[in-house]
Amino acid sequence: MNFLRKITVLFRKEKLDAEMAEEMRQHLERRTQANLAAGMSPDEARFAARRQFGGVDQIKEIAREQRGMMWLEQGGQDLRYAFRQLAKSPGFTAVAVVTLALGIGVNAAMFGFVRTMFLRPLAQEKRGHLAALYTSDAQAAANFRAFSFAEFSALGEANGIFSDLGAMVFEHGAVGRNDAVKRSLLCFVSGSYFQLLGVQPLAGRFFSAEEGRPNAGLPVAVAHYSFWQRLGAPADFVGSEIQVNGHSFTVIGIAPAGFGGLHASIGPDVWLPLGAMPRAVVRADDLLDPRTFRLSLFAALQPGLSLEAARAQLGVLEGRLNVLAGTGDPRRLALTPPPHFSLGNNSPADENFLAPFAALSLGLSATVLVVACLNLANMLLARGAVRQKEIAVRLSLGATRGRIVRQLLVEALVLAVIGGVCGLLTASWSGQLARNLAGSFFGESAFAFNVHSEGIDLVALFVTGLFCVVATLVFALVPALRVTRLNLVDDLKRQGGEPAARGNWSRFFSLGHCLVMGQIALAVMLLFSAALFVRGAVTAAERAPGFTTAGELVFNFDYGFEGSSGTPIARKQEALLARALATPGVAHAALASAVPYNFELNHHRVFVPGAARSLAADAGETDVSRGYFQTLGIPLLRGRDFTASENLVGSRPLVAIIDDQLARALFGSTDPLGRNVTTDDPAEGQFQIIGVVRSPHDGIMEDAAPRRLYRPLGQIRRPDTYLHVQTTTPAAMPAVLDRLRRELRMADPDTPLLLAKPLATFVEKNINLLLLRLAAIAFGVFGFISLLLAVVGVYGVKSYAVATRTRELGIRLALGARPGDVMSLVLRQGILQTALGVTIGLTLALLAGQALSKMLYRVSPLDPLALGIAAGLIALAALGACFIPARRATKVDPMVALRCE
Amino acid sequence: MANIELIPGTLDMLVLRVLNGGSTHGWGIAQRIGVLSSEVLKVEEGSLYPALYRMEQKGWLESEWGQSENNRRAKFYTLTKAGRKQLESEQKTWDQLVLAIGQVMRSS
Repeated sequence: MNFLRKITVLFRKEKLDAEMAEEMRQHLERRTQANLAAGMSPDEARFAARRQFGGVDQIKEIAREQRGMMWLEQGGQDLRYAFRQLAKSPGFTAVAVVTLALGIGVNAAMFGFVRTMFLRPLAQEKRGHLAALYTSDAQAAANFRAFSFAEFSALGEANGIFSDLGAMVFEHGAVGRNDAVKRSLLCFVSGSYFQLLGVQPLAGRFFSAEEGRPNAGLPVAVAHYSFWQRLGAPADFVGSEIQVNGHSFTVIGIAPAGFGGLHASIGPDVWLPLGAMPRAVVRADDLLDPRTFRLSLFAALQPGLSLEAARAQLGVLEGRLNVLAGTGDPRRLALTPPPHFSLGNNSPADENFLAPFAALSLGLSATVLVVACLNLANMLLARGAVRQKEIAVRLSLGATRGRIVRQLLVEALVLAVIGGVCGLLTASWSGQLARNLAGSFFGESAFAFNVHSEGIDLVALFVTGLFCVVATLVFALVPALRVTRLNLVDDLKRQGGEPAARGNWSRFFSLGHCLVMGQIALAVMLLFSAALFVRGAVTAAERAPGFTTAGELVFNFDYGFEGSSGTPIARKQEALLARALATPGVAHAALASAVPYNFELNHHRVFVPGAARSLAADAGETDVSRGYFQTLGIPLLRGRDFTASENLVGSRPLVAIIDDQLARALFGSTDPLGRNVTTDDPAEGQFQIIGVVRSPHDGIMEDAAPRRLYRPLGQIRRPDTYLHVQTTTPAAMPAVLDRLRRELRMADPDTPLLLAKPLATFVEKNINLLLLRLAAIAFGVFGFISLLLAVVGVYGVKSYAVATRTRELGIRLALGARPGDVMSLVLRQGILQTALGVTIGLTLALLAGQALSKMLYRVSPLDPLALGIAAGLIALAALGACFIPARRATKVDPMVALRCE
Repeated sequence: MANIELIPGTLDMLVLRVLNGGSTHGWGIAQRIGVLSSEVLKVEEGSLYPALYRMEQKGWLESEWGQSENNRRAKFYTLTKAGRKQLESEQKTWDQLVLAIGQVMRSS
């Protein structure tokens, strides 16, 4: 009611003003008449009436302010005034806006990235009750394996722990539409999968329970949003046909943008129902076989049940598993939050590094914003000092302090909003840039990258905008309160912007200088972090991978894509290898089921038969042809390579080659040659070890290379094949690449060649190395932005200090000081301040280094080169910024300086 | 007797008291305060108006344009129900205040 009246008052302003004037005029008239009647002269009567009444205009103003809503009116005035002030000094405005835009842009982009990568639960609201399920050997807790379909069914039967259970299997496959076929990640899922993750299709529908049943064989597929986008987002996509490993599948739905399944950063291009596995995968295991352990399980917990409470009740479910297993293989269950990153892993993943990584990324980008704010505060402070006289005049004319502070804050707010808008433009532009960059890197990768491109994140926008407005207001408040707290008489007497005389120490630690020292310190820390990332990327890239990349070419074929009929795959592979070896320029050639540094999925648990179950080790299995180790330059430490006959299906005994790490893990110091091993797939039988090789690396993040098991490719009949070629000289690579491609096409126009490129690109475009490089670039940019801001800050404060001390310097020069003295006077202070800032910065850098060294590959938190570069760069830049004003100080003409005051 | 400045904060109470005796205009209020205080209390006449507007906004007064006794247009102020309540409470506080201050001042 009251508020309504205030609002109406606002719109009746004119009328109210007129009425008020009329009322007061009449009052004065009556008083005048009364005075006349009392015998005063007309002039005297009028004058006395006015005196008795008081200042008419002041009273009107008081009355107007009482009406409420005055702040709205004054707010409008403040806003107009702020725009006029900012327009009057375009240089200041431009620098402030750019500063803010950089700070906000960097943060919005970083926040969006961290949110998509780490924070946003991809299975949005339901993630709270989602959990991943693992099973291990009851005797050996570390022996994890996947689940069989029978186990999945048993665990999914009604129970008090899970309200729903989902299963998935990751596979590689050739996916495409019409002629454009690419190796991709496939995900076979149970009918419950999408519903469990709580997503709705963007178009079409998701799988039915019937389609998920093993061996249902219904050819339907759901496409990843980015897969659909990559195909040009055809409108008639749902209902159209795509090819998976040479078979037609009907697209029945498209997943919503940004949904990539359970994992944060990568997802499959298409989802297929579990029932379609035999159709889509050539060497598909029969899911109905109780000994086929392929499924990864995840569950939705019963509403209200916490993970801990669910764990306590797992015994019931373990009982069900043990009934299935008979007496032979008692199992234990483990329940963890769903993993963010690891795919196709049968054991719980350690993802503790995520939270610190996210915090660190956000922390470092927030540092940029702090540096930007410090800079802005400094600029506002200097500006406030310049405007001190103007403000003193306004105060003396009757403006209240609150009014002036408010008006200065409005000015800052206008800056913040303009800066914010520019910042968001920067963010969306840099986000686009990052996505394009990622797109070019991931264009050839075998999975969909889950960072989607439907513009900037609204929450990110809101959070950054809010932070920026708050930061600006806080940083504007200090200068505003400072400049309005003054002694009127002093300031009116004093000439433009000369601060009151202060001691050396208080001058050294004046607010402006402290802000600059803070900026220097933060810039040192950021540059150091950037240097560490660069170091990390360089050491990782330079590390000897354990195989040759010079002169190495890789060709990828997928015979699954042709279907399983016709000539046996092994025969085709033999012919392919023979043709490659006969090609001029080829020194060695070999086939393999996987390429190093290319996202290995095929992990096994390897056991020694007869030994304790606990004596087991995880190893990545690669199936290779004879000559593989020679072609890749992997040294054979003991024993021998496979023979041609061992490469044939049905050849006995089954043989395997292992690496020195697996040998050490399983056999210790005893001789592994001639010993037998088995894997967690008991159907495969035992393999005799015939050789030991030195382990090649498979990625850059891990310190040690993963353990390896090699088996003859011909026995495995894998449809996806990599042909490794070692050219006679590295220079011959492009020629051989072209020649071989042409010859293969000529020999068989239908050769399912998916890609042909140097092996080095797999190493260079490895996703981890890429992330490391992106981080190095990002922090480098952050570091240089903050360096730039710090330099601008130092320069501004020093210039201002010299300008305000012009008179003092003039007097010094007039009294006989040499220019060198004046220069050292100004520089000495700058050097000390820079030194102090750098020292604080180095301390901060060491703290950041501690955190970084935990995440980066072989990086020392005390890296002297990185510390030296960061500190030296900042010190040089800051001193350079001091030098120019110092030189200007020596050019002060005493006469001019004294007269101009 | 010499004029005495108003104790700050008492103007509202005086205005409410005057209007309790019947509605009148600003000039009338100033006159009545003079008369009722035997010309001891001098209101700075200008400050009366912001006080009137303030009280009107609080809902203690209502105003209406009308004809004054000598046939001029004038704005008449009337006490509302809320205003009467306010007057009662201020009267009570004031009485207590006067009594208390009196006791202190007369104590030996």
